[in-house]
Amino acid sequence: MEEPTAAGPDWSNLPPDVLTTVLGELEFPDLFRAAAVCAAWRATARALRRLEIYRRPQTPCLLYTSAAAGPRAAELFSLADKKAYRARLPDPPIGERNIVGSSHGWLVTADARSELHLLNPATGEQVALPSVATIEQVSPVFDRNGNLERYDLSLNGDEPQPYGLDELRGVLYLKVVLSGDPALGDCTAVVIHNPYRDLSFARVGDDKWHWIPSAPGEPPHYSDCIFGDDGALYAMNLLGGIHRYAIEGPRAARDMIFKDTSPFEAYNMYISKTSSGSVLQIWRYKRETSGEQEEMHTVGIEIYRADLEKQQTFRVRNLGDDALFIGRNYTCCLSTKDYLSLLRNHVYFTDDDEYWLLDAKDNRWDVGMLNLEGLIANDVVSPQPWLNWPVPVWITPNFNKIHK
Amino acid sequence: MATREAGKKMIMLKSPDGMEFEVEEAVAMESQTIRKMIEDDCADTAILIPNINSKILSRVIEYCNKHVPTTGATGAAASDTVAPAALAEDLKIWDAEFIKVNRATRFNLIQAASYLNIKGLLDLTSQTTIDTISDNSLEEIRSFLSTKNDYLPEEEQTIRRENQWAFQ
Repeated sequence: MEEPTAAGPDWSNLPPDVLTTVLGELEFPDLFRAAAVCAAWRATARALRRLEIYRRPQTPCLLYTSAAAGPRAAELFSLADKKAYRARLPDPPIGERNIVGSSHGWLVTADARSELHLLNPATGEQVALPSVATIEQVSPVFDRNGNLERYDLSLNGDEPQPYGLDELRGVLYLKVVLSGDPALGDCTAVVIHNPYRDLSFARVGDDKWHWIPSAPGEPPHYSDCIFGDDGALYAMNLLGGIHRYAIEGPRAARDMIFKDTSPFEAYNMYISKTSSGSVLQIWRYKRETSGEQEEMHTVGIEIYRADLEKQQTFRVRNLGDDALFIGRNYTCCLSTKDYLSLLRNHVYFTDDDEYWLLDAKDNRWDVGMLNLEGLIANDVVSPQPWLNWPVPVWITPNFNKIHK
Repeated sequence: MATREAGKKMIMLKSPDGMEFEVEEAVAMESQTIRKMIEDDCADTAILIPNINSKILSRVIEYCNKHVPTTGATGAAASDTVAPAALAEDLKIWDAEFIKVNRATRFNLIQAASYLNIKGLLDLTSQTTIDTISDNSLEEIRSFLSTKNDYLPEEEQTIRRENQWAFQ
């Protein structure tokens, strides 16, 4: 910074168009700070959000609950400035929900009745997804007075399994992804769910989930999915196979199959696009440490590029300038040329292991970043500040609103 | 002052403190505001630029001189020329030097760029402001910008304590 001159101009009088441009280019931690500078800046910062013209892409944050914030708020730890910001959230309390997805700035949560909601921590907006009772394999069971008592989960011909209202969510949901920002238009939600890691989808605003049927005797076993630039759904199974679905109305047509690449099922597997558009198949390896308390540690990541045309995979040993985000979030690669605070060739991970999550509320969460060069894992925040429920998740804050 | 080159149309810009600057029309038209005046035929003899003193106006002209696309033919639509990478890099270095001014001058340059609607200069001056905000604490920003903290002490308390997500 150069030498200050005495009695300089008052920068709160910046031309409004310039101030709007300047503040609109700031990431949210900087915008918040700028808003505290003076009343004029604050008014402009508020206007940016009120008029919904604040569209600055944000560096991902780690979202978690903390004792200090209480059950009705989340902390967002920004990877941009390495500070935590607190967001109050609408009921039911976030501390009592499961987090099953995070796409385009929206969390997907399951409440104590196993119902799904979209929740935007930046705006406090919340939208219900279709009821769990409309999922093909789920049947609500009522008591004599007509009150919902439990859900039955059917298992392809076998005896249905009964689950309590708050019990089903842990068994049923593996991950939910969104096709886009529901505030900006049509948005499809896709849920990977049990009994057999099936796929169901719904448009945000629909009243029903549509199941994508699988052939009898062929459990789909999907592990992750993303949307392509073509708008189609790319779903990867635990054998590395990729199936493309064109979703239209209540139907999804499978129109491309990339063959399975592995003879055995992966424990954790993701599909992503690099910042330059290549399709990646990502294997995550964990080690369970024995001791007083069992802990899971991510110890390896193996990445392959899938050439969908040639039906071949190629080992990728280096992500170049990309940083990869995996966990319950929409799996994505971000270029460190666009997001300067991220570390290149690093994998940022959170926990999403279905069995581990099921009954492991008091375990250490496996959250951190892994340098692919040398496979060295590090903490993102230290000491780990989060409560043990719900599971921490990556989120890219988004200030667009659905309800104008 | 620049000598008049044969065949190049010149424009006179006047600052409110009485200085006159003769510049090539193409240079002056880097400013969308002046371009509009010229195209609307409101600029026969000289254009008075209000609110921008001669010191700042001369720097703005310096910027436009450097950034006007170079073409051989006079009056040709020069904006289509694509600067080669080396030239672009050169300009970047020049810009970085150009903007090394005290904050009063920078503030005046922002105002001038905004009034005259010169996109490149606006982007350049805005970026330095963005960097200033990104790189400094609240107190540092306030002191650098000579911005009066116009909050009452209790408001200040609230603002600092307040959940910033709630100011939508």
